[in-house]
Amino acid sequence: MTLLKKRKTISELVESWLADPEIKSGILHHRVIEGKDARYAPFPESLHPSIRKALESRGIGSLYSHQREAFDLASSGRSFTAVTPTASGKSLCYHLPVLQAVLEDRAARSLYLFPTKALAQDQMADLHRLIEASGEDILSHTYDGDTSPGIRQKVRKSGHIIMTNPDMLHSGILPHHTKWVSLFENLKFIVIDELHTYKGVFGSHVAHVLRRLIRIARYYGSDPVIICTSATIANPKELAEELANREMSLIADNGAPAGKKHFLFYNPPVIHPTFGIRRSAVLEVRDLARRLYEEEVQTIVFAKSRVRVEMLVTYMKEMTKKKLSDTTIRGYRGGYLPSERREIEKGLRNGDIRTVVSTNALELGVDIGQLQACIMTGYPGNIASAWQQAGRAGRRQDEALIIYVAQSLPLDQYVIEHPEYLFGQSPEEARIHPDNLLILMDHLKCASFELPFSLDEPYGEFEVQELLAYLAGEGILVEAGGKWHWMSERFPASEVSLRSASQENVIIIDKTVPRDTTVIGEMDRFSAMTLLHEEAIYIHQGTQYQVEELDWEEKKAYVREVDVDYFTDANLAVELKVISEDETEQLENRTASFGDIAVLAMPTIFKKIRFDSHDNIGSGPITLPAEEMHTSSAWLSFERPADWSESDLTDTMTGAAYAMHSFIPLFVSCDRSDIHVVPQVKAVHTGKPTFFVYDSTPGGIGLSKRVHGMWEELLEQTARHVVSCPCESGCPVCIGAQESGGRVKERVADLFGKLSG
Amino acid sequence: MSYENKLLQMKKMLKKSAPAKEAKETAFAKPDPPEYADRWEAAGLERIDNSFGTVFRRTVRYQPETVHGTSSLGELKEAAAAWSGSDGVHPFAAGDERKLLFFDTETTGLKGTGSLIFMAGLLSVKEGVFVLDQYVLAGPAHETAFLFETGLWKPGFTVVTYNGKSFDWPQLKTRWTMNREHLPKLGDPDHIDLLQGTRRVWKGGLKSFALKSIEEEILGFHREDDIPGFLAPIIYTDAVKSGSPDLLLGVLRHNEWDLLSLVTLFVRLTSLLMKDNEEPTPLPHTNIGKWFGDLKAYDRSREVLEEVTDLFFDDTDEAYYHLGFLLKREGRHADAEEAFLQALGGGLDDLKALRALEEIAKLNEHRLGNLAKAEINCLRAIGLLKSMDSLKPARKQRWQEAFDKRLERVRKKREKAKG
Repeated sequence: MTLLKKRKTISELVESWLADPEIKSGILHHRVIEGKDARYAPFPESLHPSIRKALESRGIGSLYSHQREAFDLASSGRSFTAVTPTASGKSLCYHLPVLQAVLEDRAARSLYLFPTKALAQDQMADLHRLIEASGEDILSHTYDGDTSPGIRQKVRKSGHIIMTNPDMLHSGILPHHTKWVSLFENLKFIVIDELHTYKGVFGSHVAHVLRRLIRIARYYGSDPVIICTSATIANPKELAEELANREMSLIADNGAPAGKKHFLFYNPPVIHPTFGIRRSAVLEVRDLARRLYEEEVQTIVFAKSRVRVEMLVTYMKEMTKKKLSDTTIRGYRGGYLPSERREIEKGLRNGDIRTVVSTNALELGVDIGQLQACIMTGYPGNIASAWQQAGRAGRRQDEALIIYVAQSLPLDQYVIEHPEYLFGQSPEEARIHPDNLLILMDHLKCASFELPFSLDEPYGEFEVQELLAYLAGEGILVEAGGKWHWMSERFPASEVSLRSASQENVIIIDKTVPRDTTVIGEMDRFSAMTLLHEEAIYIHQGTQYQVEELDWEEKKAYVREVDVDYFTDANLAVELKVISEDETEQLENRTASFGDIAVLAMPTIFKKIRFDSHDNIGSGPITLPAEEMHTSSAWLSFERPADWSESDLTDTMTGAAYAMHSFIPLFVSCDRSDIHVVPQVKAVHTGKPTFFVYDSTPGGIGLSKRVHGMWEELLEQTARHVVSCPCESGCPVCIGAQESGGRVKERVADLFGKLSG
Repeated sequence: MSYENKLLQMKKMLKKSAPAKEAKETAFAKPDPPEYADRWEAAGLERIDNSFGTVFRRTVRYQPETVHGTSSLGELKEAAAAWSGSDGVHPFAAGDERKLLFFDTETTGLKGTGSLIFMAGLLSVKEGVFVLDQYVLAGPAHETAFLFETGLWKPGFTVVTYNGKSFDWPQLKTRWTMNREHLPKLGDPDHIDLLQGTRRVWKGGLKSFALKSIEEEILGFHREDDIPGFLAPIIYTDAVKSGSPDLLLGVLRHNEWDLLSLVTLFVRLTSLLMKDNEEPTPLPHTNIGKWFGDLKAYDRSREVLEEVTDLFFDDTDEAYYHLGFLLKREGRHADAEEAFLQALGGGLDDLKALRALEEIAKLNEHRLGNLAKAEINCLRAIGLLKSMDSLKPARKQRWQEAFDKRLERVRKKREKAKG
């Protein structure tokens, strides 16, 4: 007779693991974050009875304090940003004031912006349920590329709530504002959901789209209130203010309850001490997930790519293969249909699904409910994402378990060695740079097309009369009757993609199904040289594609879906020319400068690199013409140490650049590919050994500018990391793989020491 | 120097200002006439100054005897009369010569609020004479004056265009909205879009439906020294920037030809639809028959299609195909089957052939009780489907499943019948 197995609580489970020799050696840290109770506020007096009815039908008898604060601010006409962690009822922060506005004045209109179509469609379902429960006749609908032509006119004329994305607003709504008169004349609220996703180039573009939107709204006599919701980032208020170009109130104090959270930091064992190689994180995750599965703990596993998701699902299913058509383990990645998502949500709610393995797709807003445990396969790249993933675990007041499993990568190893990095500081700042002149000029054209500028009119916070005169000189505008009129047959919005800063983009075409070729994205031509050359592995929304043909003349890359265990990395021969040196700071041991540079780049060869181990498993040539780009750069020059040979210096600087490149994303909150680090043993401009750090985006997006302000910190941290790396003479975790027995690692540490002095 | 580099050199031009002051719309300020007004007048345009500014106009009159291609303009009278006496079902039935306003615009771009209408041509019959008025925008600041002067806000006309439902009229509405503060409201007149009719009648028979091709293929009109339409925007913007109207006159003539062709195309379509004019091929008639069917004028539709199958020997598959559906509607199942069988003479495209086979199988299974024939036609359909490489995979799959299901059911029924 078997005893009835008693389910362990999370606390008991963690305790048993900490006592288990097999697993405890990998656990470097255990941290507990205590839970907090919910703080409620009563429904506002003024809340419309129908909304009250709808809420009560869902079992909501009062609001969380932040929801009430949002309602009060919105009702008094104040724009605000609410910081809303996962599962804190963020959508009511905007639904309530918006619905209230419609019920008070049937003419009132609102516009919701979501970063993607899928999120807008998800939210539409949620809003429809709320409206239905209110029993009121309120028309809300998505407006994007998928909206059927039959319903478009109705949505334009009488939609109370339009849910769209910035791209559609940019090219499908604003340039056709005369078809949206009733929206713009009565626009009460603009809602910007997932504010934190609007950063970098994309965010800078969206900042301009919003300036154009406000300009059109003003033209039609309305002055909408702006409501933003954001995941936890360091500067939500600042970001929102820069994005929307107006003052914002901040709701930072969230009233939603949270349960106790256990964090485990897990490092796979070293299996190759010389090269500092650890056991594959994927295999460790598989084992940990199995344990949780057997303990009947509902778990979400995050992996960085589709391939790894599929790998993990396959591994996990080994356990249940004896059962017929088992559905307790599911994969989940970008591109799932709403119906599939609903099915997974349902399975999680009723307990049919015990483990779900997901790409980062789930990080973004999509609501699949809360689980008990979360495993991160590798550091997601920034603190904000880590917290968002962690937020997936923790059902109401229940305890939750979050396990971070580090990979053999510099950032991953840094984070596991420095838990304070995650716990001790606020998440990154999200930055935008609407001053980028290329981006600004693109949108100034769009704005001119939409509505002629008058001779004294500013554009957002910018004085643009000189720029408008320039456009007139180029024959695009004509000055007449006190205005700058668009005088060209072009449609500027179609020449501007919000997802990139360059003029001419490479279109990425998927021809996996020959009769069903589709455009899946585009990329600026500078990045395309290293990411879309022939045979490159291009990863799009977690799916791997191989580039079969790159038509450089026509700017088209033809790709086909593949499933391989490597990625590609291209070598770029780069020439740098300093155009202007705007700032210089001379210290005893180094000179730091900032300015504009011209980058002449030509890709040379590419390497195929295996996932996880980062072994080089093949290479090939790239034949493309050189490209020139202007961007901003921070550079650091120093005297060559007297006792170093030229080749010593080359090797050392290469290793140091590798290490810096890994750490800059940590300091300025960006992706690795957003920034370049180029070491030059004798730079033309300085005549000395120089490290150039420059923005990948033409015109610059403010990243190297920030590096310029934090050299000290960057050099110190990088040095500390290199020194503390357990490898002998350099590995992919610190300065890149080196031949064993060399002294490069030592010299890199030495150099960092000298520079930060 | 590249555009990007040029821009970066202008970085210093970029200044930030204090938060924008409320931009206030002021009362209408009448713009001064453009400095090139004299030159445009000298080129033969009439200058009009109204209370909103300046606009230019060119007016041409034609006697009804004027020949354009193979028709004379005067035939419009008879064509319009034919419609006035019709049953009102057809989209062209709003025709009444006195109210028809042939309308065509030239614009600086294809879409959006930044593309302007710079020329509007209006052709109508006044006291038996055809009068063409072409209004030309004097400059971007004079748009209100231009729109007002066209008089399009006055009620009581039916507008006739070529592709105007999706282009000219929406563009006009956009321009109107941009100037709505100062203009009387634009109405929503009856609209006959001849492109739609032309497409219906000659679908499958013409490669291009550009007006120029229609003129050559159908109307017997050949343009000489025409300025292609795609150059019009550049010519106009250049005329505004340089002040020189020389090339603009070519655009006016292009627009004039467009409008004259609209008149004779209207005449031609009417006579085809009213059966007065026998085209030498069955295709237009078949298309017309189908069109009536889609308009739910089933009797008229069958009449036209039966005439096709009576009069022509070749190329009648399509007519039989549509006839099949009409006969099925009337419950004449055996006749319908016969028509679908006739339709399979090899002239149908694959998709229609597939549908015909499906109909034959259905009729035999459910109405005519010939299960063997139903089975054979399912198999023929599946065979055809296999060879259809241009069909999208998902769609092919759906067809395949439908036929598999039907086949299975028919076979079961046969088994049972054998008992």
